[in-house]
Amino acid sequence: MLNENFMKYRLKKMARMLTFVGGAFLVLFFVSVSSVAQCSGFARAVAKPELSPYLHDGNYNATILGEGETIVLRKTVFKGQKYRLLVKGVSELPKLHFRVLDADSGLLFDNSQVEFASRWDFDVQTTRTIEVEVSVPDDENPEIDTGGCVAILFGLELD
Amino acid sequence: MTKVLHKASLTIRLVALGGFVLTFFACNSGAKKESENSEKDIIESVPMNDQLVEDLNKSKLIFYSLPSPLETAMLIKRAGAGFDPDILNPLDNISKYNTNFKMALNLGIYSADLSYASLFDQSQTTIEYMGNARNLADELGILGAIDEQTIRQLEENMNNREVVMNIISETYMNSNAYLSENNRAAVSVIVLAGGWIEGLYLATSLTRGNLQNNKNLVERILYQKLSLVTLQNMMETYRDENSDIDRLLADMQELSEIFDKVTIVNTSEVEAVTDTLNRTTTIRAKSEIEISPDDYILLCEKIAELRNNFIS
Repeated sequence: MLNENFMKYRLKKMARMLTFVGGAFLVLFFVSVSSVAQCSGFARAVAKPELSPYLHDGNYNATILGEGETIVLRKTVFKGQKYRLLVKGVSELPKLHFRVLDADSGLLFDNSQVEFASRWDFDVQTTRTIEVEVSVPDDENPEIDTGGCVAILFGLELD
Repeated sequence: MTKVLHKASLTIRLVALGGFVLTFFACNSGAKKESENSEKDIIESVPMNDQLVEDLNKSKLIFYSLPSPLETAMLIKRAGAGFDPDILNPLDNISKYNTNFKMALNLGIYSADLSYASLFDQSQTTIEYMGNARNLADELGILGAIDEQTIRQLEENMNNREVVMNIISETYMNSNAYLSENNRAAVSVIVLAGGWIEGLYLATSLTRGNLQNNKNLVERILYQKLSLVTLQNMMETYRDENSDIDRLLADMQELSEIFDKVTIVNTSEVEAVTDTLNRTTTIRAKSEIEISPDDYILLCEKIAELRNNFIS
């Protein structure tokens, strides 16, 4: 009998835990979805205007990144076109590090050599597939991990 | 009772696991992790150092970016080609599109057509095609990407090409962002594929299957071999989520077999010169691209065949 009461108590406790854990993950899930959803607002309202006077090509590339994380964007750039590349993160993130790489020849550009500029123009005189590698550096505080939206946008120079 | 306890404990673990999975996918709706194989390829191709090992141990998210309809239209115009209204997907065809697959493909196709029309100052055509794009976006449940105000802004700025192109860029981004952020990235990829194939169709139609008709434009068409690889990679990422992507991949494989006849020879190293004053990097290299006249005709025919299937 005592054993049965103990079991009932354990069962109740587990049911409460189940509700708590389920609820916590539902909250986490919706927070994540809404954070992702906020990236398009960030890309549209904050990042895109910085491409001016170049015309945004219309492609949407944005995601949430945390410290120490890296993403890569692969794109073919075409001879005769001038592009403006913008790599922009929310203000809570440290300055973003990005490199432009060519599949055959390696490094073409590294923004750490130009004070971590967030935008740079490329005068493309040969058609190539390039990679834009974007990293969020670890900051000096190991106890707080920061994360937020990062947008990678291309602008096209108009004639 | 013990069984009940075990069941409850299992449920907790499942909910926890489910939560992790949901959270993971929510945070990664726009891209997927790179495969271990490609990381291995990188390791084998460059000298290793500690920093590189550390970099490679971190898995990376990969995004793929295709030339957008606006970029393709600009490539066509820069190559000196003109506007031909007869090669656009007829507006009346919209009544045929009653599946999500056809609607998504043709949203991309009409977006390419309206981008092409806008670049050649075809205001009325641009507005009409934007109307069709809006109807398809609505049918696909893409809320707010193109609304009444968008059409009104287009009408009010008919003579200002820059504003018109900005509106087109914004609506294209809105559609793709909405789909990506609502766990419908696979549909977004179908829209992008439709836009890409239409751009290719417009360009090849303007050369009328002849390598000599506009060499600049032909060169731009042949270099789409590189974009096709990007498109295939993009589709591979979502093939398990959407059976339509599987169908599209088969189509693109057929196209890829003809693009394989295009040879690209890089005759010099790529040179990148950075001008810090003007905040510009110039990327230069010499390369040659070739295809035989017969294979070019085959390429044009295949593109027309795929595109005509898409719009039918």
